[in-house]
Amino acid sequence: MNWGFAATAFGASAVEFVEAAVIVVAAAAMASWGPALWGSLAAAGVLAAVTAILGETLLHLVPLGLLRGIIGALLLLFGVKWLAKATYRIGIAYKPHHGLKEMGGAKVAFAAAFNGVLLEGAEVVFIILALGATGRALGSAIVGAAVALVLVATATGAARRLLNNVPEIALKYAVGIMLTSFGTLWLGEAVGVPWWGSDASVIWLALGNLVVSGAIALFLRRGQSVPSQSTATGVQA
Amino acid sequence: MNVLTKIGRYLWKFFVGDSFQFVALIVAFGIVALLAHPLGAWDGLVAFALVATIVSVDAWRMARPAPHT
Repeated sequence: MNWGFAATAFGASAVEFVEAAVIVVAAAAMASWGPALWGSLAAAGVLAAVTAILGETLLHLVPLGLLRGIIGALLLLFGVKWLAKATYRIGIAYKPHHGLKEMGGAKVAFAAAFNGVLLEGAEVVFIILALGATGRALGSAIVGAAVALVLVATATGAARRLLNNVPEIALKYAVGIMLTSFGTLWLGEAVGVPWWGSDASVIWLALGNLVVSGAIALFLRRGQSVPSQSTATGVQA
Repeated sequence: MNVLTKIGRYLWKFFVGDSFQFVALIVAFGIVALLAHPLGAWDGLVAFALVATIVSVDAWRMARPAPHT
């Protein structure tokens, strides 16, 4: 066992697993844990199959930048819809009658979890393969990444219980903010944005989205030009 | 052909839904891509501002009164 390589794989993989876990929790908040977990398992299955078939040649064959761009665009499309809708609903103090499922649906939750886990999982596979190839320490890298996976999965399981106590509209709002922030980060990276602090930029993006959408919700609430549900148009709320 | 059209419509509705957001995001990230070289890391701020604007306009569109009211 090469402990240096194991620790490097652990640190790098833990960051990717945390990002994947945030997307999976957000996807679970859209509908339920079922489609979010199935989406995660499907992505893990695809990655396992592709890795088993291609092995180290995966490093040269899969364009990670393109994959990041496609998945970022999809998450951004879901995220913008969710954030705008949640902002509008907070703005008019709307109370949902049919629970969480009315806004998202199992298919969107499955797709969001699948995309998030596929991209982050691919990055973990790349980290393991790169460490394995350069340092001839594939086993140590796998052990480091596996420990990170177990720790992050355990923490996510604990977060699952906490989420049951969060109000529905706040959960939807948080989902919109996280999907929009990750989507902006990944699509931005794909079109050439050199983000400050790399992936850590997702933190200021999320805070920025929170501030701007909060201001819009406040504007809608104070404006009093907001119609009742029966007179709101255009886009179905 | 009919089946392909149906699949296409389903995928469009599932992933895109509202064409306003789709077109706005394409324009926004086109601008971001063009500005990536001259602005460097500041381009991230442009990306954030454009996305936040799209979200704000979209929330406002939902809240505006119906034309017939």
